[in-house]
Formats: sequence, structure tokens, C-alpha cells
Amino acid sequence: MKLLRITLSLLLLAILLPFAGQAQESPVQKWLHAFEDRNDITTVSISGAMFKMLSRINSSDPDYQDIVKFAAKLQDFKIVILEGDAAKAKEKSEFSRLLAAAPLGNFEELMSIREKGDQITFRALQQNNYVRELIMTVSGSGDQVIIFIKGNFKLSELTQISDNMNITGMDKIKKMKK
Amino acid sequence: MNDIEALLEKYYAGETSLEEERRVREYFAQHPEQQATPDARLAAAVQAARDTQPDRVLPQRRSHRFKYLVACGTALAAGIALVITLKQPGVTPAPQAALPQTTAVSSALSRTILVRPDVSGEIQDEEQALEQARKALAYVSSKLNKGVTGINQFGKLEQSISKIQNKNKS
Repeated sequence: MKLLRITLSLLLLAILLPFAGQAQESPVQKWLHAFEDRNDITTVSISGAMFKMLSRINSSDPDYQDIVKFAAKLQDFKIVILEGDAAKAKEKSEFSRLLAAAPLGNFEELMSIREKGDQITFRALQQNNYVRELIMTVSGSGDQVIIFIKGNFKLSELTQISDNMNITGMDKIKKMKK
Repeated sequence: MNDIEALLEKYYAGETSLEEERRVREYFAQHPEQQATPDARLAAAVQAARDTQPDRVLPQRRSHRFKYLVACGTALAAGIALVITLKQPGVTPAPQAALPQTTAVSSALSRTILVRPDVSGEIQDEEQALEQARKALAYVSSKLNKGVTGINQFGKLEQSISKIQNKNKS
């Protein structure tokens, strides 16, 4: 009987274990689903599984290595874009309504930039000086954009990316393909 | 007759095989006149004893164990099936690729962020994912840096952030 109990509990564990591995979606990730499958809104997402795959890529190109190294620290990446157009006032107000509902209670505003009529805001959820979730919103007269990054990285690591990454970086990837 | 006597001798010595024991029983069954003899009674008693009890214990346990095995197996299979269905892309709906409306008008900002105007939904292609991540991260990072230039050193911002966090904690 004892053996049976042990067997049964082990079995239960074996069944439940895979679920423990599946990370729960954060409130922001759940909220971002609201933007999917809507006309005029483009959503792009890159999953944690994809980042894991990307982090295994080997390359001698130092710029390439930087992004691969950073990719290893990411768990989710989402882009939401509503393209600016005066005729889309209805979609715009709907977008603003969804945006206002963002569950950003635990987020801290890092900075906000006003640029050519666009308001750019960065908010982050941090833990021991590491960014766990970063959300960037662009709103204004033009496009409405939300960029969401989930992972475990330092803000300075993210800012370093653009230092050695520019248009030519894209060309390098294209060259690699050939 | 001699045959049965030899058989009985063997029987009492405990050396008979199951087949031979069956023959002993058969012999007594076919010769009713012998059924009153001690030999016959013994054979009948042994058979009766065997019919009524001990063996049953074993198969029962076996069937119990078998039941548990079946239950465990079913549970495991159900668990695995559940995990597989949960992991299937259909359950965590990936939005369909290519929204035709967005391809026509692609404004400056979306061109800076997206690798292709028609990119949409969850990216499955490795190269495209890397390109996309890189392009969008570069955009995010450039804007971050733009905000930071006013502060000159990014370390200062991080310091002030950690100060705020420490204040919040205390």
C-alpha cells in the first residue's frame, strides 16, 4: 500500500510537472491580447521559445553576437502598431481606450519624450535593478505604437544595443543569409 | 489398474504432475465403485480444497495491481495528451499572418520598427525573428538613448531609479 501511495504521488508529480514549466502570462501580456485580431492594428510577437532558439546561433560577427546575447535574456517581445491616419479616428479612440486600460500599476515611468507631436513613454517593471518588463508607448498625431519586452536584463544593456547597431546591422544579416 | 496404483504411489509421494493428478481424479470419476476408498476421498478433498481457496488470493492481487496499472497508464496518457494540446499553436492563438489593409499604407514609424510591412502575428521564422527583434530593439534603444542624452550618463538614471526603489521599500 505504501509503495502504491508513493507510485501514485510520483505519477501525479509527473503529470503536473510540465505545467509548472509553463510560465504564467503577466497581466500586461494578457492585456496585449486585446489588440490582436483587429483590423488596422498590426501585432507582431516573438516568443520566448524563439529567443531561446536565437540564443543558440553562432556567429563571428560581433554586432550579431551582441543581439544574440541580448536575445538570450528575453522571454517575450510584442509590437502593436496602429498606423496614423486622420480617417481612422474611430480606431484611434478605441486604441486609446485599450491603452488606458493597461495594467501598469506596478510599473515605474522611466522617461517620457515629446518628439514631433508624438509622446513617447517608457515604463518598466523592475526587480533588483533588472528590468523584467518594459513597455514603450508612442502616441500622438501619427502612429500609435506599443512595444513590450519581457525578460531579465539591465536597461544599460538595452541602450548599448543601438550604439553598435544601425542600418548597416541589417545589411550584415542579409549578407549572412547568402 | 496397476497403472493407477503406480500413479497413486507417486501421488502420495508428492511427485505427480498436474496432468497426472488430473488422471487420478478422472480415474475415480470413471470408477464410482472406488469413490468410497480413502484414496478417492483424499483426492476429492485435495481437489475441493484447491478449488475453494488458496490460488484466488494471487490472481486477485494481480488484478488489483493490473487495475492500478491501467489507471496510472490512463492518467499518464491523459496528462501527456493535455500537455500536447496545450502546447499546440491552435490553443494559444497566433493571429493570422498578413493583414492586407496594412500593406498598402505603411507610414514612416512602422517602417522604422517592422522589418516588412506585411509582418504580423507570431513570427515563426528564425531569421525574420532576429531581424525583427533587432530592428525594433534598435528603435526602442535609440529612443531610450535620446532621452538619456540629457542626463549624459545613463548610470545616473539607474542610480536614481534604485534610490527610488530603496525609498519605496523602506
